[in-house]
Amino acid sequence: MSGKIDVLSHIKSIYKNTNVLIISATALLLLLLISYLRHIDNNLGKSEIISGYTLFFLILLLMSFRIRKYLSVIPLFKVQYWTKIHLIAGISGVLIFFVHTEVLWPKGLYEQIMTSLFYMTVLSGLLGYIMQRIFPARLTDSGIEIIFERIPDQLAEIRKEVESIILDCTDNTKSDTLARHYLETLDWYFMRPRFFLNHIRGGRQGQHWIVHQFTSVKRYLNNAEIEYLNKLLMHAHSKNQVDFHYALQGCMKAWLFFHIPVAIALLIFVLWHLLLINIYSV
Amino acid sequence: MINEDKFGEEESSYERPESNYKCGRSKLWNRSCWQGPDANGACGGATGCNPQRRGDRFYCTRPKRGGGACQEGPLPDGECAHKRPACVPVLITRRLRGLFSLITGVIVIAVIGLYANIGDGKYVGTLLIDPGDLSGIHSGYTLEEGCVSCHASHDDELASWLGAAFSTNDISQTCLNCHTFHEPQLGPHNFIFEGEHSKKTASCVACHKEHRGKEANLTFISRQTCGNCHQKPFTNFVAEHPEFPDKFPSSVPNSINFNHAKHLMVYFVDPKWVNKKNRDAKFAKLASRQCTTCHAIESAAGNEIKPKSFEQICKGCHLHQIQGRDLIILTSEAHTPITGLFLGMTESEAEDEEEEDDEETLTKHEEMLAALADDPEKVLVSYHEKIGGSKSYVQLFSGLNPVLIKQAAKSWINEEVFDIGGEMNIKHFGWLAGEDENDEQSLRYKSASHADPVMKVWMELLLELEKDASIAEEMDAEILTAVRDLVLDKEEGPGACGKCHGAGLTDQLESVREHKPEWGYRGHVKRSFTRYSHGPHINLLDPSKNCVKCHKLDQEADYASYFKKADRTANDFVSNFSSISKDICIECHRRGKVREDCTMCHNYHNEAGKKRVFQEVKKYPAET
Repeated sequence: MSGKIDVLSHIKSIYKNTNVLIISATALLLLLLISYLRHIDNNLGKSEIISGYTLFFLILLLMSFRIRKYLSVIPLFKVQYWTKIHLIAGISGVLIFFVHTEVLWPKGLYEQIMTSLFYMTVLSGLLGYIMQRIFPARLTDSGIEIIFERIPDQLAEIRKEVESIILDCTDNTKSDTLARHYLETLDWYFMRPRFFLNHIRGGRQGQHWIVHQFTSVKRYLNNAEIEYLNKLLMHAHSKNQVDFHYALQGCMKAWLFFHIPVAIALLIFVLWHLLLINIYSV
Repeated sequence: MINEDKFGEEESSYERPESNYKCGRSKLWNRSCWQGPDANGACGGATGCNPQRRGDRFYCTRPKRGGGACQEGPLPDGECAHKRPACVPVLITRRLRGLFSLITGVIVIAVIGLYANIGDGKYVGTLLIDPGDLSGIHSGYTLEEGCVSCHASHDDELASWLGAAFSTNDISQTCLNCHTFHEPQLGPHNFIFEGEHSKKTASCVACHKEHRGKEANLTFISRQTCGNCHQKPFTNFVAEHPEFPDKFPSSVPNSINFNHAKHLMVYFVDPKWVNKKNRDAKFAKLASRQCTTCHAIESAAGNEIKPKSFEQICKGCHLHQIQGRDLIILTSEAHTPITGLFLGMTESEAEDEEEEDDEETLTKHEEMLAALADDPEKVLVSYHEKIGGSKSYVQLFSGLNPVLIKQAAKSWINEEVFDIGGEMNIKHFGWLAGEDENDEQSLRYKSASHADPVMKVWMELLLELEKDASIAEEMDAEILTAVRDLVLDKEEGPGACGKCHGAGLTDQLESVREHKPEWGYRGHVKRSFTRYSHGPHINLLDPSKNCVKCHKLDQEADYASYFKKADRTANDFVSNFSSISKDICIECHRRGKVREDCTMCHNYHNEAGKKRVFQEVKKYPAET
């Protein structure tokens, strides 16, 4: 008896989950749509007209996500819901696309261009979604929070502090070993974000570089200089964290530079396709 | 080491999301100035601040987040002491993305506009509207006319081209410019159904989807589509296809009376028949073993494998029968069915007149001979006019020498034997007069070979007279019956035509002919909705059993009964072969083996045809 209650409560808990509800509703709608299209096909009707217009309105729904961002002052549900709708509409769009075209790769040039744009939009969207799911967690794990737009200022600030340490070191120790090492090697590192691709991959090349550069110079330094070197090392690690944020946050912004223009190109081709279909076939 | 307080409200500028630009120094990884760019994208940080005059002095206005008031303070002329080169502000990410999108959109529209207008000089080119190559079968049709051969609005001016988007453009009607079907041409199966189905129409493109490349299959239709209307659910051939009907596929009577069972089991194998005079024993041996001895394997690509010609397969045994049975027009003394027609007398009337003959008055028969002896051509023309019918005098008496009949008639009036050369009279073909094989003096026609043209027109005329209602009313039924019996008599009939062609000459099967004598092989019943090709099957089915795998001889069947009936209908026909069973087909046509979908054997369209062919459409340049 208790087992039965556990199962029921488990099911209830599942259905309390909004995601499951949305996905279930979408799957049901898609099943109904596909069976309706089959019914039209079996009656020698033109199911592609229905599937085509459904796809068109789905694309418009997907596009409206961008408009939602412009209208942030209007309370049109949370962006979180819009993101979910965007994702589910996108995946549904892929399914309806194949139902509509019945082929992976069409024959005509303009349809091939349109299909390419569709695939590129979908793949870039999926890539973006994957990044949005993975990167924030990795950024949180880094232990710091940095606003992307302030990264240049952060880097400039670190660089300023590092150069200040070098000057202090030269003044107080009367040795330019560390200063020369900075000019010849470390300056390159502090100048701008480095190891971009390695950070995306989750590598530790930046840290290895720091350890290597600091270890190699350490043997030429006296104790006083080593104290300054240790201060530099702490700033270098901080800079490495900033680089990490720059790489990941940059990717989360950069993919939209591909996704949105391609989606707009797709929308224009879809409108062209709609016009041609109405002129030539319907 | 990251001190976020350094970017607090008082220490740092607030990032302005509504601004289109950000400080250009940040692009060089330097700290952006506290002023930031102005709304037009100009640098706002060329000076540390904009000093403010209070009384006669200028004061530094640099806020705390910019470092606070500077020690130097403004210059005496009121300018800031901290001048620096102006930066080049850059677009913020959101604006940059918007610009990217805008440029992409403009490029795409430009490309569509540009390429859509490049083509054959008409408004719309084909590069950016062509959804793919036409199928091989259709690509030849549009070589000259182009897209407009199917899409009427293609060559229109811009306004009407765009306007076409708001009108109906179903191309089904243009399909009918080349294709023909049974009425209703756009109805389901081109067939007139009872009830709701008759009101439905279907667009051609619902099934035949073009522009999918040269190799595209335009005729595929799924089982589910068929099952939508066909009440009996059908998902696979093995379990759900109904058994073939009785008499399948030989439900229509043969026009030629050929008894397969008799020939294969008796005539070709029984020494009594094989060794008989005028029989081709070698052929009989071959024919008893191989169906292809008589059936033309070359036609295997079609629905049926037709029998070979008379000369190839029948002549060896049956030619002598044709040559041995003359068409007796008249005799010196006795009444014949044809003189009955000439004189309008039945046989009994002629016999009565003969009995009452008193030597002084001439009987009608004697009058006829006298007239023929006087002017045969005039007499025969008058008889021909009296009989009527569609055959001309020239056709009926082709090759007849009037002198021959004149001399024969003279001899017969004088009760003399007419003889122009003994055996020559018998061995030669065509019109003969004199003693025949029955030792009677007669005027007759002897066929030289199968399908003799004179014999054929006589056969057709004599059968036509019986069927022509106007003649039948005027003529005594007994006379016409005598003529009919003469033509169709299997044993004695002229040319032995009735032996094999009796059914073809007399059947009234509306479905297979239009009241015309049917001399040739009738072929299978026309099945608009099914197709079958022997070609791919011949060697796949058990080669050792050959055709017999499917066409099993039914020795018990009373094949001859149909041909013996006077008032027969198609339903009376009994085939020599057992009905073909579905079991043979399902040996191969089943899931995992050979196709079993509906269109494998069934046509959707009823009486599909073409009224235009490629050669008519393609216009070759005129020769110069």
